[in-house]
Order: sequence, then C-alpha cells, then structure tokens
Amino acid sequence: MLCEGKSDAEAIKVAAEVLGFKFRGTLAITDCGGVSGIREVAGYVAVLAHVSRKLKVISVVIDADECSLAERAYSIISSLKARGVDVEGFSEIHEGVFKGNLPAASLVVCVLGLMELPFRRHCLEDHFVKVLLIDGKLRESDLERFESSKEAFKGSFPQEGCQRGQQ
Amino acid sequence: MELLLDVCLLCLVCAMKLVEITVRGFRGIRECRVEGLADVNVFIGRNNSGKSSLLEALYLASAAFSYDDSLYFGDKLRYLLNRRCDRSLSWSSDKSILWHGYDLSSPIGIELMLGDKKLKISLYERHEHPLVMLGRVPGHEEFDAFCPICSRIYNTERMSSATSFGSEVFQALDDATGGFAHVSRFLGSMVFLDSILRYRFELVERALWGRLVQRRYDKVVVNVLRRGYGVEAEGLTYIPLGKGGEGRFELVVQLPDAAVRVDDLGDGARLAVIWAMAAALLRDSVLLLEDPEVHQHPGGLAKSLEALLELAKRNGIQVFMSTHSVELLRLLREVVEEKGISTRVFFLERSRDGFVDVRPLSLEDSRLLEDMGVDLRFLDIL
Repeated sequence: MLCEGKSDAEAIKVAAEVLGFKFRGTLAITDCGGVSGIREVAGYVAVLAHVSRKLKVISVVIDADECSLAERAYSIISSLKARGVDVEGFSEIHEGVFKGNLPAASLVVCVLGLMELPFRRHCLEDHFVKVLLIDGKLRESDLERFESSKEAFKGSFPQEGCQRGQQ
Repeated sequence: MELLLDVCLLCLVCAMKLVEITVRGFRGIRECRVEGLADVNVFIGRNNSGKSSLLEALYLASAAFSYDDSLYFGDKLRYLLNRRCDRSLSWSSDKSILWHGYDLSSPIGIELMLGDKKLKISLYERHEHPLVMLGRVPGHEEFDAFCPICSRIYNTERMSSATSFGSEVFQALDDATGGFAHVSRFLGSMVFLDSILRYRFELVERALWGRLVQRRYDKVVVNVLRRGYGVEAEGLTYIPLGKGGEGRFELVVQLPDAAVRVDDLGDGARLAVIWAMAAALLRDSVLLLEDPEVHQHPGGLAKSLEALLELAKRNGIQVFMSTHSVELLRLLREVVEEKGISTRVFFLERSRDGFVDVRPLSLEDSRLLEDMGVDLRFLDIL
C-alpha cells in the first residue's frame, strides 16, 4: 500500500486497527515520502509490478488534490501506460476507489477527498473534517475560515497529536 | 586502409559483451537464466541463492578457452574444486562436486549470448576441459563439440575425438560466435577476484607486477591507496626479502619516512591493490568480483570501486559481482551514474529443487524500491 506521506500511512494503520480489520495476507504500508507527483507514484507501482512475485494487491492511496476523483485515478493509469505497464479493466468500484489488473497483481487506487467540501484542494483530511461535522465538533459555517481541510482539522485539534486527532 | 581495419577490429572487440547467461546442472543450480546483462552486473540474494555459483559458472566457461588461470598459476578446474574449501580435490576423483546433486549423468551446460550469437559450452565427466558445442559442420557430422584446449573435435555421445579436421570447423565456430578468436580471448582471459586472494598476494604480485610496472600502472595502485585508504603512498618498489635476500623480493609501499610491505597492509587495502592491479592490465574481457565489500570500510570501498569501474570502462571490461551489501549498491549507483556505465542488479532466489528465479532491476528500480523502504536483499518477500 503506497501512501503519499507519513501521516497518511499512520492514519491508515490507525483506521485499520480501530475498525478491527483482519488481513489474510501481509499488509505492507509504505509512505512515499511526501510524493506529490503522479509520475513518482506510477514509478513505484511500475517497479512493484515488475519485481513482485508475491504481492496480490498493489494499492495506492492518494489525495485528489485539485482534480476530480476519477481524473486523479486515471492519471495514474496513463502514467503507468507511459512506462509500459498496462492496467486492464480499470474502473470505479466504490466512490473514489478504482480497481484494475496488472499482469500479476490487482491494482487498487483510492483517491482521497470529498468534493462536497468547499475547498480547492482535496485530501485525506477531508474525511476527518466530515467526521467532525457529523459529530458536531465543526459547523459548516466554520469551514469558511479555512483554506483547506488540513487547516480545518489542525484548527480543531490545536494541542493534540495527529494520531489522537485521527482516532 | 590498414589503420582503418585495425580501428574496426578494435571496435568489434570492444563491443563484445555478454547479454545473457544460462546455467544448467552446476553446483546448486539446476537451471538459471540471467537476461539483459549490462556492463556492470550485480547479483544479490540470500545465502545459497546461486550468486557465487553464477560467477563460478562464468569462470568455468572461460576454462574452455584458457585452462590456466593468469593469477593462480594453476588450472581453473582445480581452483573451482578447491576454492570454497581447500581439500586438494582433484578432477579424477572429486569432479562430481561441480555437478548439481553430484549427478554426473548429464553434462554441465553453460549458454552464453554474445550479442546475438549463442555460445554453448558443456562440461562432460569424461573430458576434463569444457567443450564448445558445434553446430552442424559439413564433412564432420559425427562430431558435435570442439575443445579449444586440446584442439580436437569430439563426438560427445561416444567421447571419441579427432585432430584431423579442416577449416570448416573454425568457420562453424566463427559463424556461431561471430569471431571465435575474439570470443576465445574475451572469455579466456577472464579474471576471478575473490576474497580468498587476500591471502595469496604473492601469487598476484608474481603474475602481474612486471607487466604493471612496464606500463606504469603502478601509479593507479598508488592512487587507490592514497585516495581510499589514507596511506601516504609515494610509490611501490621491490626490496630483498630477509637477510641477504636469497634472490627473493617482495613488494613494499614507499611512505614519506618509511616503507611497509604490501603483505602488512590491512586486508581491505591489500584486496584493493589486487583489484586495481588486475583491472589495470585486463583488456576487453570479463572481471568476476565476489563480495567486494568483505573487509572494506565504506570509504575505502567507494574509492576502490571508483578506480575499478573507471578501469573497467576504459579497458572494455564487463564486470560481474556478487554482494550482500546495500551500502555497496548505493556507492555503485553513485559511481556508475557519474561515469555513465550501464548497470543492472539481479536478485536471485533459488527454489528447493535448484531452479533460480532472477529478478532484474535497473538502477532506477533499485532507487525506487529503496525510497519505498524496501531492502533489496529481502526482495523475496515481495
């Protein structure tokens, strides 16, 4: 599982733990060190697809950023194609979750972000903000004060660590 | 015109490169194919994955063309039999240790792709020299192999041989290899540098020093010592050994205020001296380097690798090395990128029945995997 940064990887680990997911195989979570470009992400997927013998699923968790969910997902596929890696049957199987087949593994791309939130850029923190809205810890009118959900989220937990906030 | 021809021939020789190796029935390898070879090739993988065996297989192939090793003053087969553990094993009674599963019923097979030409070399238990397998030769249909060491053609079914044959045989070899003399020189002069050599410096010294000084490549060795090992070497010279000398000499490093025997240098520095000496003299051939990180501090390793690869590039040497060190891979990446040397890493994984799975990686692949936190030595978990 490739994530964009350390905090995304932490969030996924915590979410999996809190939700009680049990994995039949081994789940490896690797952060891509703050990679923002699709090309780099595609490079990681391509090399894993090329060298792996045992990976059943290669998944990418990536921020939508300024794109729509589908645009972001398909840009990875285009970038993979440019590297000579074809992904067959790539389609959206759930909102923001896309799946296709690499030669020897499945590729799942999960694009993070909620288009309903009034921010220009969309990312993991959109989902946290949504939870805060549902829990009543934030009001929709509060969002106007923030440029992004990252800011809104940090503004809601100014004194607490990221992990506590994610939980 | 003559000059042009010389230049063209030189280009042909320089262009020679192994692009694929297939090994069957050798040591722990039942079968292994390595494709897409580059100028520098690095084998990584767990213990017993076949890295050293691949190097040895190449060395065995070279024994088809030149039976004696230029460094060890001995025959290559005997060296292979005793290299891992010297028990004075001999071909006549102990050859089976070279065969996969000690099963002598089939020959050991090594296929080498040189450009688009495939060269097949087989070692039969009934003939001590590896044989070059022939295609169909008009007029000599009953013979299927040639021994460059004995200059005989062989029928490997009956292991009968003949010395009387015409130029058709060499024509067939030329056709199969794209120039038999060049291939013979390219493979025959192959050098195998393993860490055992650190205890055999006197052999290397005897074999190489004269030629090295004649061409003044001793300066290369001095540079390696200065740059990589903090030795204030000003030069190297021979001094008489012991009282009265008794006609024996040994090599010493000249320091500003003293001289120190090369034998007394640390293991890493002495190995680096050996690498530099061998690579400086080798031309248009293959260099096998087993676990070069052994005894090396990263600083020394970086400088000696740099010198070695510089010589390899200049002298048209294709390099094959085995390693367990990610540090070496990083250093190598820096050096080859700077010098524009094509390099590939091959991760080997051997199954219980001896089939070796090979995963080729470009340097970019290895960098991306490292960025993801993947240790290349454990690629088998992916």
